[in-house]
Amino acid sequence: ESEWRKVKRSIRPGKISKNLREIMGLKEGQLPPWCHKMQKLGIPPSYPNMKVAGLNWDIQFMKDDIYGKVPKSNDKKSKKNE
Amino acid sequence: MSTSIDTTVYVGNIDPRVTKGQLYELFIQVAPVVKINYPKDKILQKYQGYAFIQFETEQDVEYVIKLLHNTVSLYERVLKIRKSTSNVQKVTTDGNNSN
Repeated sequence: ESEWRKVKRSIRPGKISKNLREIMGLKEGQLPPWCHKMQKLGIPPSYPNMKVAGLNWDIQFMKDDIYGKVPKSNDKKSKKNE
Repeated sequence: MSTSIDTTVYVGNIDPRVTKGQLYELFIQVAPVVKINYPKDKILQKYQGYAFIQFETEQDVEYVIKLLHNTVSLYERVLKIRKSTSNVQKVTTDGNNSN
């Protein structure tokens, strides 16, 4: 269980681990397949401030395992990079 | 608890090599995940190819289905996602069945 919690902490929207990318068959520098659909359907309702590379975020921000981010504006933690 | 069905999706066609952590990582990309029920065959100790994933709102469920049904392949198997309709959603009572 504690390991599960540790796993959870390293996971966040906008970031996909190398391992998950591999089993999804995502090539380096390739956006996840749902990003195109977001163009039509919009940003996730529960992440209204989400930034997605190539959509509402400069494609240049896409790097390694990062393709987007959810700003932590209403999080208890500090508002870094806001 | 009576409404948890409304906020739960059924995910099918999951390759048994996929872990619970990977499902969590995938679905959290598009909505906050409340709970994952990913049953294993008790005898073979192998995942059975489907999971129930609970989200916070019905709106999340609609979005997840529209966005991810027939969209993502794991180990070259396309995930099938639909509303969970079953009331007999098997809840594993024998402790956790994660990794």
